[in-house]
Amino acid sequence: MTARVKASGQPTARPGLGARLAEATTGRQALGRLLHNRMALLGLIIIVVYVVLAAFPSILTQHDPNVQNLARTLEPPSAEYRLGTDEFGRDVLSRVLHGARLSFTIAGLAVILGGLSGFAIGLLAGYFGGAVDTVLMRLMDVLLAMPGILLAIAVIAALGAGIGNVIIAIGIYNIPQFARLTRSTVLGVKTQDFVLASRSIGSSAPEILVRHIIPNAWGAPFVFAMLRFSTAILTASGLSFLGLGVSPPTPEWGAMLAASRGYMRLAPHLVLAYGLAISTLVLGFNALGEGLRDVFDPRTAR
Amino acid sequence: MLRVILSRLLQAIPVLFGVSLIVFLLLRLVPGDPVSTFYGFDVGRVEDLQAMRHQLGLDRPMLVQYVDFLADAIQGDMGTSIKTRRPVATELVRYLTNTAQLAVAGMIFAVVGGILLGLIAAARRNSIWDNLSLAISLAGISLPIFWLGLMLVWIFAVQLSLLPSGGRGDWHNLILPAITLAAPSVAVIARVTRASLMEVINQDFVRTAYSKGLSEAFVLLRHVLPNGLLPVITVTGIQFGYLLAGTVLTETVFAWPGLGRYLVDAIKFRDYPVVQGGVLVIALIFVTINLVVDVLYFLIDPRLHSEAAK
Repeated sequence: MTARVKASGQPTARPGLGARLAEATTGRQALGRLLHNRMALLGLIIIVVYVVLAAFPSILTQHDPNVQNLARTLEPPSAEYRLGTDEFGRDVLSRVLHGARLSFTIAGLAVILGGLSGFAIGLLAGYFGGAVDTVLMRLMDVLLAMPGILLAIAVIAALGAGIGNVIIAIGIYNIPQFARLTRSTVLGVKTQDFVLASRSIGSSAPEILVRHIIPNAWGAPFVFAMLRFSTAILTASGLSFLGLGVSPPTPEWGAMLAASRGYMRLAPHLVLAYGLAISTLVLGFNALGEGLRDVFDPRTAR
Repeated sequence: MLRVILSRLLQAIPVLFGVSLIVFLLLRLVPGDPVSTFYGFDVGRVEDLQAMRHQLGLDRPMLVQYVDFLADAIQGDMGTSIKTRRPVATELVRYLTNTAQLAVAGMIFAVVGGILLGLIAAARRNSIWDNLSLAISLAGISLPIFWLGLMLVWIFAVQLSLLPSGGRGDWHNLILPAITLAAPSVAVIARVTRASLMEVINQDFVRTAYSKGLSEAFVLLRHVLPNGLLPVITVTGIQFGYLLAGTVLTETVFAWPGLGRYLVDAIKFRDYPVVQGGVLVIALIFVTINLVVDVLYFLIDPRLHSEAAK
């Protein structure tokens, strides 16, 4: 036992993430600590601002994101067009905000799709073990053999571009991460006394899974889902930047960035606006993630 | 020892087998035919299409095509590109050389920059340096690398005319793409280095070293860094895979004639053999790197030896 603990480089006295989670006995306590963490607070504020603006773009601009005005193309920011106009005379601010809406939709659906599939796979692999575990986890290893955005690109290669396929591609790309995390959580839960007790009175596997395992295993994957948003947003805009995702004239950040490349000398405000839009939102999610880690894993705390 | 290495090797084989099967199936089961794409809409003669399908072997049963594909791939034959009609393997090697150049340059930036940032942050915990290192790290994982690349081009090529904006040439052409490619990995390596070194810095032998009157730089470089490097090596190995994936975006921004750009073009053209070969080669490299990191980890950490002996 001692040798094993030493080998993993974790001294015995320090509680892991699970223990810290258990220590923050109520969700309210955890939330309270999260709000006291400056990093997490910064992230939360950024995300909330984006959500509100994406939901109600009319707060900042009355222009339609798709209406062209060829008499007024590539204008720098002004009182009427606060972030200027693009190569077709469309309002950049409006396109940025509608792009936020699209990014939230794509990332949200992709994380839900990948999260639920991965959760189910991890649940089955972890609970049943044996051959089920081997087959499912080898399959996950295969998906993990294509690093980063490459797996999403491979899926797009088969399905073709488009919003729906981007969601599927990023969803698939998220499955192995969720499956691994869920599996390791389930392995911890299934040997606990209440599960063994339930099994000993003859409960069926579906009953144990639904009544005992799932309620005790969804927490970590749920927090992890929050952290996956930043990668999902980056991957989606990356695919569109490559011309393998959402194509113009849909106001998608990566696609708009690719289109405005050619005007970098004439109208640098375009590249600046779209790039800052992506960066700030992703920064928000990453700051929230960093804060979450500090709250639940004080070893690396500042 | 040899057993550990061998078992890792054996684990990698089914993974690669699975990747080849998935890549093969993905591209065959989906509607959209490379032959009609190649001819476009102006040539409508069905016999021509059939003849070309036959020539490419696309009219054979799926299983036969797969076994054939696999047998050829093992011998280093990845088929012929539908677009250029040249052997895929030859083209892949040419593009891979360019990508490797970029990836290695990026990795050097990532490792040096990451360890340096992490070391400074750990040595001056909670100081302005620590916060600066954190800010750079957060920016590194938050800025999309395709945008970072564009901004670097705008500043150093368009505004200052210091460096070329893209293409291949001498080492000047390598600087901006390598920095762009390295940015997310610098961030991750810096964070892991900081966390790992901070555990070491609080240990007794470090205090002993200081009490002997050794200089801080000496203690950090000779005592702290070597003892905190294990997690850094692991994460660096993983980052190399992500760096490879990142070349797809970086090469597009900087018009770098590498594997990633070649792959994206092939996807748009539905050039099946190239897409299959490209994905397979990248997966092979990624799996190999993970293997090497595993073995390296085992060699460096003597504590794992006694584990394996049991």
